[in-house]
Amino acid sequence: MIMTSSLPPSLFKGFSAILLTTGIAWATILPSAAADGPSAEDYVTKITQDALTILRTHQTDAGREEAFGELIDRTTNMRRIARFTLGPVARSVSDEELARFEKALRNNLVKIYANRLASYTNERVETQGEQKKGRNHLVASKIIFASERPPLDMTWWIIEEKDGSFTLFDIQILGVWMAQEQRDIFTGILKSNNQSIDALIAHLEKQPTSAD
Amino acid sequence: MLKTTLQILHPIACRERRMSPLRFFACFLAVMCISKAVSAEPIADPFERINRVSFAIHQTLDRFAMRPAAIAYRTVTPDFVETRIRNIFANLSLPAAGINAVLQGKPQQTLTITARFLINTTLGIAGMFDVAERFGLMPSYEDTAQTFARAGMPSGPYLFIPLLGPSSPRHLLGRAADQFMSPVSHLQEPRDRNPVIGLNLLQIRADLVEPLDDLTASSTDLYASMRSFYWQNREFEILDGETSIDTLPDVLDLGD
Repeated sequence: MIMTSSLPPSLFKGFSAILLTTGIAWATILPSAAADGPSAEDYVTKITQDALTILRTHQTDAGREEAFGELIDRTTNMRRIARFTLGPVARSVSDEELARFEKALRNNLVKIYANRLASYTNERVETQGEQKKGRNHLVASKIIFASERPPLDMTWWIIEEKDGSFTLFDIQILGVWMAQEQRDIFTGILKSNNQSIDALIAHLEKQPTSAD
Repeated sequence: MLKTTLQILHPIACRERRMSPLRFFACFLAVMCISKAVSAEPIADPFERINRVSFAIHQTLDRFAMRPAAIAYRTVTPDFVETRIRNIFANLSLPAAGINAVLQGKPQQTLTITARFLINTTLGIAGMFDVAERFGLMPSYEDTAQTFARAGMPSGPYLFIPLLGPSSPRHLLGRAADQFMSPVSHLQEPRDRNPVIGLNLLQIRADLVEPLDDLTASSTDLYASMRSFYWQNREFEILDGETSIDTLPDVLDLGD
């Protein structure tokens, strides 16, 4: 896509890696088990194990989608992700509109990425320590590919809820936060549709249901 | 910061009217090296309509020319050869990376890049093999646009240029400088230079076939996705890949 010899190789490599791993990133954001583990790092380890288990045990698109749907419901605070990706508009929508958007967002993510993940069964994620500030935790990790591709850095943003449990909020690969990317997209769609959340929901619902 | 740097240097240059270009450069370098204040910039896309038209043109060219050419290239080129080609072009970018590491005041990175270039150019047979990595010298890159950013130059608006891809005025300026420092651009004869540049472009596009196909199939707005990826990744690289928990937005109250 970026076609110039003058661009630094790091950009190409980074861009390619980001695009390549968007799938596995969202794949692993979707899975996660209810974890009352002793640390956010342990929680991330559990999430990745659960993700790979799903990928290896569910052979059909429908089966993977259902399993990912259950995982995302159990382990992420979708309301927080929905509000963040909506941006300032989140403050002006009704509870009913927010609930519809949240559902559309969740279904969109599950359908798109659950099917794409079929090819990511042999990768593994190794955690490498965490930063903590208040209820925010950043867990550093590396994706280890089964092929000869070099490992890729990945950061997990885990939030400690008020009841002490963990939820996964976002994943960063080579500097690209996935939820921020969604927010950037939604901001544009809302802007071109007079800030109509109905238009945004309709846009999400008409998206491709799988990465064919 | 760049403006400030020049303002700082200007009176010095005036006082020492005989200041040589070398001394001026040394002073500039010294000030650059202490210019570490870098902050993330939000995406500015005031030319979005024009950019989207450029993006559509680019996508059409890609669909009918670049992507088919990349697939054909991959079909006839063994993986082993592709890896060697990638390594050669990565090695050719190291002189510019080394100069920028110096300008950014990163002595350790400068040494690493220099050593990588020397080892891979010789033992690695013109960069074909990444021998340096076996000595613990991991790949490390800096570009001129990053140097500008660290000196405080704002990125300017987001731009999408057909065949060139996502960019910004700062990045374009940096690319021009990187191009000038690339050994490839100093090949005198176009018949020598153009095939080399073409091969690099082909390899780059070939490496992006699956990622871009996936993104195209799944993104709710491909233009916006590309813009976000590009912008976030550039900021990340300018900040040397550091993610600080102190810079995260406050999202705690957004949950249930």
